Amino acid sequence: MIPETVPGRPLAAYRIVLGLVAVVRALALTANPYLGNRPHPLYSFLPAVPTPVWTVVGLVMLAAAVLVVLGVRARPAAATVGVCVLLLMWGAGYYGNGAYLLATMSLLISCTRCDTDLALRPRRYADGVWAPPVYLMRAQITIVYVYAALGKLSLDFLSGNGLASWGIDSALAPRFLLVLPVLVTMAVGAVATELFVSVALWFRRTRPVAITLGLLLHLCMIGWISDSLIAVVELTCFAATTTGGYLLFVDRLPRFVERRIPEGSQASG
Amino acid sequence: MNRALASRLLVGVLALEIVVPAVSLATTSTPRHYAWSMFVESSTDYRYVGETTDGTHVDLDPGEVGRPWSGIHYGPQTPERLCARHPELTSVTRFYDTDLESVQPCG
Repeated sequence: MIPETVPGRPLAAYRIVLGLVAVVRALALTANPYLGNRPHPLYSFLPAVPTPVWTVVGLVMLAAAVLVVLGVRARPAAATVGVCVLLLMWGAGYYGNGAYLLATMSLLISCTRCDTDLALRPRRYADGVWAPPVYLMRAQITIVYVYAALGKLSLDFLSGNGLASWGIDSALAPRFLLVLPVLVTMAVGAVATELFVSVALWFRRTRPVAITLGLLLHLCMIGWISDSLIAVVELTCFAATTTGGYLLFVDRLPRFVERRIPEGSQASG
Repeated sequence: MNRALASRLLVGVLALEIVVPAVSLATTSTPRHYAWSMFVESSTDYRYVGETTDGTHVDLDPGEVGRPWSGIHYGPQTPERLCARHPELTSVTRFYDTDLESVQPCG
């Protein structure tokens, strides 16, 4: 059911997306203690560590993120990004869904052959890009959407109340949309879209619709929830990590792309 | 590592990917960790205050116009209906928590 190999270029493109997100997050996480968000462990049994340690961790993450983007020792660099985010989440208490997803996807992509293409130092694998780890990443995207939808199955969200609370504070959401029929439709629509996207991404026929709806959903989310520039950046990073994952669902490259890839790269991916 | 072993490891990771958020969803309340719950239940309380012609402020109960939950934003119809129900009012103001959200002129 799962093919032996998948094309390397979409996976490499997602590696670059993840790397860019990691660069932004590394800068934000490193700056965090100096912007008034004092680090303290997420769990009480973890030791409190001085701020300079988290600065070093953030800078290591930044360097690793750059290597991920460039495709130089990309796999260990991706693993380093994942570990650094986990350290900052647990040790410094900078937990967030975006950070957690970045850590998860970074660790998962480090298990894939993401370094065969779009890299300064592309690696060659005689037997191509092994598909199962990429399918595991696909599954992760689906899991995020399914649980995001399940978490919204409450009166508070489905009544449009949550959207209203965000909309009032949002700098971008138009006030005339803060009416009950619109809010309820949007709330139910968001849950339905998440469930649809989670499944439809897996099928070639429904994939274009899923990608379009998914992108729209994330754009609306950024517009509706953002109450500051920092929130826009934060939500854009999360959207890029998630929607960038749509690249993982590419089973076959379009012919015009295949023709332009050098033979060696094609063999490896 | 051979591929058979790697495949088993991947199945294990997939199981974790599914089980961890399920446990979090079942056993914790918002804001949840590791459950991909992007939505944190809002704790906003909406209050309605009417102003009479002599400048007196009176607290209004949105339940009397069929809006029983103060934690739900019911849109502009609620202040309009409160205006209609209380002809003595000149305006109805809606607050979310301590902040003013909107002022609905009556009449």
